[in-house]
Amino acid sequence: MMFNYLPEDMVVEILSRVPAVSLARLRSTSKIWNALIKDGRLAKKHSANAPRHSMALVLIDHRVYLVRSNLREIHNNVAPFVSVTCHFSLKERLSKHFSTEVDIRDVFHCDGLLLCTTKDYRLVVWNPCSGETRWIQPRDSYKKDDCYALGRSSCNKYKILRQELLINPSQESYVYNIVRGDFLINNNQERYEYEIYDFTSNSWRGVGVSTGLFNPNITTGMSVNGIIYWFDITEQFLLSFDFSTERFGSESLPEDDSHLALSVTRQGKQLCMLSTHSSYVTETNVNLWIATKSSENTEAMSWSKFPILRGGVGLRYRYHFREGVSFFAYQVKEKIVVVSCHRPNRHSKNIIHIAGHGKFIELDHHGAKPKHEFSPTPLLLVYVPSLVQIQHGI
Amino acid sequence: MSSSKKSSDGKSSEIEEAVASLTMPFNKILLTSSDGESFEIDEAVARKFQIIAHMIEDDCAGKAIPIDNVTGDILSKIIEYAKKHVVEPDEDEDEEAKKKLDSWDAKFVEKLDLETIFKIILAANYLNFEGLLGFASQTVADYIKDKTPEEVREIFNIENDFTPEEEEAIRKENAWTFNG
Repeated sequence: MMFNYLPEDMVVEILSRVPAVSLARLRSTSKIWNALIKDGRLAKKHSANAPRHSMALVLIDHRVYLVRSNLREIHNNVAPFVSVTCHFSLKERLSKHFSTEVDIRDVFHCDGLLLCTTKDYRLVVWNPCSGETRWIQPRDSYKKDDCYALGRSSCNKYKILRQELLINPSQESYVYNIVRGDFLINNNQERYEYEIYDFTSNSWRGVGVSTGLFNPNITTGMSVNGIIYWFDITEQFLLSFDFSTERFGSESLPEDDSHLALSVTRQGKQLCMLSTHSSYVTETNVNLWIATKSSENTEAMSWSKFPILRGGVGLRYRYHFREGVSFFAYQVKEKIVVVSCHRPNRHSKNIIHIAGHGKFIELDHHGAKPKHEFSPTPLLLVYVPSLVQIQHGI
Repeated sequence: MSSSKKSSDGKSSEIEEAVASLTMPFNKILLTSSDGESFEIDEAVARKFQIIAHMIEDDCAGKAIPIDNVTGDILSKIIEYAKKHVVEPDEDEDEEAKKKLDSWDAKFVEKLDLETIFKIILAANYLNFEGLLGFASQTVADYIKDKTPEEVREIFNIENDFTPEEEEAIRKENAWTFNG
């Protein structure tokens, strides 16, 4: 097929309708196409026109991999297959001719952007489709207890929230609690200080301090529609930060269940939660809760329950569904399937299991596995590829 | 003579428009392609092309409008599409009609080769016919989304201006986007 001349804006019109992953593949077509795929003009149209697809990534031994799976045929009793072979390479250029692969400690996803903490505690934002990376300088220095999350304000500006743990108490005897909105006597040694990083001004700005009682790690949280959600320390509440209002919030969670982990469904637009409930000591029920907000303005979040596993007898369910688990949920013919991931142990390097349709399958997956039982806890996360630009947002 | 029925309960304005067009005097517009082919179409169809709609609003559309950038074969295809899409069915209100129209659209492009579709894209852009521009662009997008860079270079007649080293570097970076 030959066509002699198609002007650039017609090419943009066409490419803005091609899924992000396909465009990532087509970057090597020509220099102009490579530039277009990174270009702001295509990114804006692309975000309006292109279909979104959900994929899954897993972080194993400091490397990010694509999770390929065939879950569609589970209801037909076809054995599910999970493969972890495609490795996402994040390179850092050290000199003109030498670049090295970066070891990744943690990943936080928002709108196709990956906020990564490196093994040596530095911070980088990365779009694997466009190939764009942006290294972030800290306000003073990186600390190993720092936690980060990525979100978006209502004017489509991306921002990073940093949560820094301060061990030594200040001279003040009262501390303002940003979640409860009142002053508390500071009995705790721990305080969390929050800062926002703005990409356009390349600077950090403080947004408040809170006592340690409520606020553990935002890195295990989720970003939904730009807002960040994470569990408080008691796991009775869902804490949130809205980058538009720059306010913290809290939502109560369904009682009776132990809430383990958060994820997203519907191409990142809906928040969901994995929980367990034990009516007897040795019996485990696993539930998926999907959140709906009644409207944009009201604060209340309601939860719909989807049982995934009922009456799982035996310690292995306790072992698999506990702290440190990460997951994503998949809909197969009106039924939900949960793919989850846990720490390796000395007996097995299998870390992935599938639950749903009345089945529980421990998978010996194909591809990369943790090297040994002391490898860092693997992390499974949802990835929605996009061409979102780091510098200016959408 | 059929009477003009204007419903007062706020029914869709497309129905009102359709009914009104039955009772208004027919306005025909003549479009002439760059190679001298002429097409007489209803004003309602011509209005799908925003440049003509603007000319009509500004009262500078005569009865005959030359379309210098588009040949007759392409213009006839565009008019064929515009006629089918004069009234766009609402997805929520009339699912059946939407399905029928989608099916017609699919058959419409099925018969066209890629070069014709490119020409249609250019012409739809020139005439400012947003609906067809979007549809034709989507058709090409669907066609290329599973193709390799080599195949796409051939389709768009693009020269590979990367050095082998540069191309290798990008391939390494996006290895995860290739299946298998």
